[in-house]
Amino acid sequence: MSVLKLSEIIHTFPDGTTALRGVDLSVGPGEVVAIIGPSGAGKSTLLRVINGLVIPSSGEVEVLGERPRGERAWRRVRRRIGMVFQSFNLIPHTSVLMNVLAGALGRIPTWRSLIVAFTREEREGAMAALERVGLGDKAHKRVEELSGGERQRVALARVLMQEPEMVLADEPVSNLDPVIARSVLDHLVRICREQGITTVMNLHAVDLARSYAGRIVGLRDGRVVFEGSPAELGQAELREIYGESYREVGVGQG
Amino acid sequence: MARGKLSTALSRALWLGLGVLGLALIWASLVRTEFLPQRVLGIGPKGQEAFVRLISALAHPDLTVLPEIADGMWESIAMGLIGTLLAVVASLLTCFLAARNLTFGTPQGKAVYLVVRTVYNIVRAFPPIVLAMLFVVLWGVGPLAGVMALAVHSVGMLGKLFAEAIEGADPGPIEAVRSTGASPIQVVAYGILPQVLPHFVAYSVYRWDINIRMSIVLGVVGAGGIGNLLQQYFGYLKYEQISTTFLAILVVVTALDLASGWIRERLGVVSAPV
Repeated sequence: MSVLKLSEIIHTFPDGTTALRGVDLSVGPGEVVAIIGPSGAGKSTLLRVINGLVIPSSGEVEVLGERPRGERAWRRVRRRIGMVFQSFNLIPHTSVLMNVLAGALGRIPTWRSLIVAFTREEREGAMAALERVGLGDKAHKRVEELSGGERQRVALARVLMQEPEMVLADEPVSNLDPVIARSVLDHLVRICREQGITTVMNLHAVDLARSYAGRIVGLRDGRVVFEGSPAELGQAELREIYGESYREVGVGQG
Repeated sequence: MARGKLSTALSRALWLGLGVLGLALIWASLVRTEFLPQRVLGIGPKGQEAFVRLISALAHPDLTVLPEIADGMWESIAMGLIGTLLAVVASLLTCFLAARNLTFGTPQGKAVYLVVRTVYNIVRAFPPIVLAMLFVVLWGVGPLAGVMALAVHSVGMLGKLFAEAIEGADPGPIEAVRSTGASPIQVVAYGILPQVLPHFVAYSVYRWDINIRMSIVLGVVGAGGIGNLLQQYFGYLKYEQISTTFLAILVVVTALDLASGWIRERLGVVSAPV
């Protein structure tokens, strides 16, 4: 049984660059999967194909038991899939609490969100989400006052607010220093494992992929060139993903 | 090599030709505007006398007309306020349709974008004073014509600036809000508005400042405000009253400058494009 099944996904952008050249991927419920690969391998595009932010040129997407067609259908599915981003993507000039509440937008009527009338339960839910990422005391701060690691944890709380069945993380820690990166991933993976949330994350650092993911997928030039457990990912496989020169440049990273 | 030399010679000749053309244009413009030594330096005795009287009147303005001037000034400020408010509302309602990043998803969106941008360009092309002359025909002499002129011209300006602020918004938060399953209206309200609102306010304040200055001039074509009075005083050569008006304009414009600069600085948007 799988909660995500991608079949023969091919995607070419309007400018002619081909990001994905036939990707098949299947993810089971509660799995934590890391996608690794060099820049430009198509990792970000692949993640956005999963929640319909990018509609592939061809191929089948089956996610959470749906095969969405059209923006409306995708919106209903997106509601059930949380997403965190490399540059955090918080709403600027607003409070931390408001950013977390935005996670509930998908299930709130548009009129009510326009007058910013969140219910008591929703506000309490947002506070609880902030508590879970250790930022309960920062609810009324503006996002500009937070550090990078704190900002990504706010983004995480926004995802929790969404009550998702699946989480997508696009290079969630590559803008953070190594220590903060580990603490953010600790939060992300712990929460997802506790609640059985299926997680697919793009990671640029192989060591992080090894220590947090149950399964690793290697992407190169828009194709899956490796799929297996962290233990199965050896030097030969890494060279297959990153190219022959991996060993030299990879010592520090890997 | 030969080709290189030829093209160098060609481009040199081209630049020389352009230089000569430029100088000819400047010369023709000097003649057309009568900026010639005999005209600039040849101020007649009548002109000199009138100017000296005007300048010396600045030292003793006629303060008995102050209530009249204050009322005219209030009319100008009110014209600027209402003209700007109307323009802000109209721009807020339309600017989203004039932003590439919101409309270029579909062919229909592209068409709407082109129509709204074209309307902005057309109304912006007419200076307020020209529009005021047109609107005096429609609504008669008075401040209403001026208000409409300022509003219409300002929509062209503010709509374009608002739309460009939206186009400059960081796509990251927009994508993040979209990824929660938000509707397009929610994406605008939560992903875009918080990013652009400070710019919108700064541009509007700046526009109000400009519109009050413009409203001072509009009275000359009968569209209300302090310009009306100034024109009357000039008609009767009432130097002391003209002087009072000048001083009043100086005070109000300076105060405005300081106020709008202060507001924009507090918003963190110091330089606003005109």
